[in-house]
Amino acid sequence: MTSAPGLWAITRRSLVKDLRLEWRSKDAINSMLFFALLVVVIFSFGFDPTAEESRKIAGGLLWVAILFATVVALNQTWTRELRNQVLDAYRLSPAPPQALFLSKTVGNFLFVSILEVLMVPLFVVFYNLRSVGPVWQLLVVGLLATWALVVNGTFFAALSIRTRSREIMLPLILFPISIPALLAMVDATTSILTGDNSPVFWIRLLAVYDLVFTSVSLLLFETVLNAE
Amino acid sequence: MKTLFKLLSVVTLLLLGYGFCQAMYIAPREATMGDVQRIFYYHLPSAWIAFLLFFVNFLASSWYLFRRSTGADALALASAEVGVSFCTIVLITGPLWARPVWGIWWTWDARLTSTLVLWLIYVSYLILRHYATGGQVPVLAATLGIFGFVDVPIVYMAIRWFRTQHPQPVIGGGQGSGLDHRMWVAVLWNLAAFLLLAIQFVWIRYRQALASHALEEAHAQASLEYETGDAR
Amino acid sequence: MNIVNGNAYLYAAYAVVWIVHCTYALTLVNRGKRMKREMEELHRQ
Repeated sequence: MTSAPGLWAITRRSLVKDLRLEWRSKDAINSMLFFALLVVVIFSFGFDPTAEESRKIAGGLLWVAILFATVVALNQTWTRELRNQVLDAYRLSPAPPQALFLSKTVGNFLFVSILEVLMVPLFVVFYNLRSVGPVWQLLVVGLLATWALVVNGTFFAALSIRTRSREIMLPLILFPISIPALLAMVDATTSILTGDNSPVFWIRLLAVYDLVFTSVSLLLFETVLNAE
Repeated sequence: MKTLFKLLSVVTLLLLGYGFCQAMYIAPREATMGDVQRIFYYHLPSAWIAFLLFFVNFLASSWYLFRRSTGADALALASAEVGVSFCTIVLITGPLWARPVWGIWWTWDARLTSTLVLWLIYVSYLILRHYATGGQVPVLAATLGIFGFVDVPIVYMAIRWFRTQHPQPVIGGGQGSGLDHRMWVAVLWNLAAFLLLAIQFVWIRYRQALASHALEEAHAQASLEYETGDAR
Repeated sequence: MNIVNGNAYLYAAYAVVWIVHCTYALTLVNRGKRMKREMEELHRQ
């Protein structure tokens, strides 16, 4: 065996390259941040609840808002690669395709997390939110839920590259499959905020969802990458 | 083959007719719900058949990724289409049953909601097939088909838990809500009839998908010969 | 619950089932005819 770089090394290098490019151009991050802010404000105009009601619906509103912002972020996942025919080079290289997928997914995860760091405090402010349950549980839900959206989102973004009306195709195929994860993240958040139910089942479901779809995506990504 | 198919069509029609008689007249009237309950004899078999067809789609998609056989891709498309049509029936007959019995159209009942999600997943599959371009559509569709079916148990678990947390009336009676023997007979006759109908639809659609593929190749071949001045 | 009303829903449900299946059968027939025409055109060329 030659000293070919391992999966993690390539993933890390790919990710660092992506982050550096994003930082230099700042185009995607800036517009996404503003879009996230807009979504929160518009939702707040649309739904103007009392403190007690807000705890019940904030979970749903927050995750729907994050979902829309995520789709905007995901849509540009592969555009840079497409523009510069990087995908062809990647197909020819001996690097494992899983590394490319992982680096893109982790990159998206970081982007969406930054959006959430902006959106969540805004929601807390606009809705005067206070959690009955422990906040660390909310963090766990946040991590699992974000990964759930991002892992399938990155994969389906690759699927929708070769379609007409690419921008609508991604949410169209992503949303139905994400429904159980959405149900879980919303109900878990609501359970923790209101303290009415235990979020444990939902957290477990999210973990199972993440495991299953990360595996399936890793397994099938090479097939999609090579499809031309 | 053609005569066999015609014979099968006759059998299917006869079975459908008999199934209708069973459902409408022979099966006893339900005690609490009255005749509306007879919707059940069309509702339940359609649900089972839709699910079976989506499973076939999963198998065909997997086989396609494994062997890249055109037949597998054709079967995947056919089973998804017919599955969606049966699934649509489940989603329409369900509320039509719920409304007179419980006064509301939709109750987020576990089975019906899972069916809705299933319908959404496979409609998105069909839309991807329709709007994707290029020669690799079957591969992309096959991966989506696999993702979709893998999601099914998770959907089921999620919605069932959601229902236990927020209970509401169950459409179609609970598990083993005492189905009279004669009712089961009606269910089975209609299941047989609609299953045969589904098989025939899938068979026709499958042949059409194969033919369409052959036509595309023939067109490509013809334009190639035209360009090389080789028209024969 | 009104028995008469209930029956209206029953007939509607059965009608829907038949309409959906007939519509699908029609699309199959139409596609078949279209493809037959295409094949004949191709043969003529």
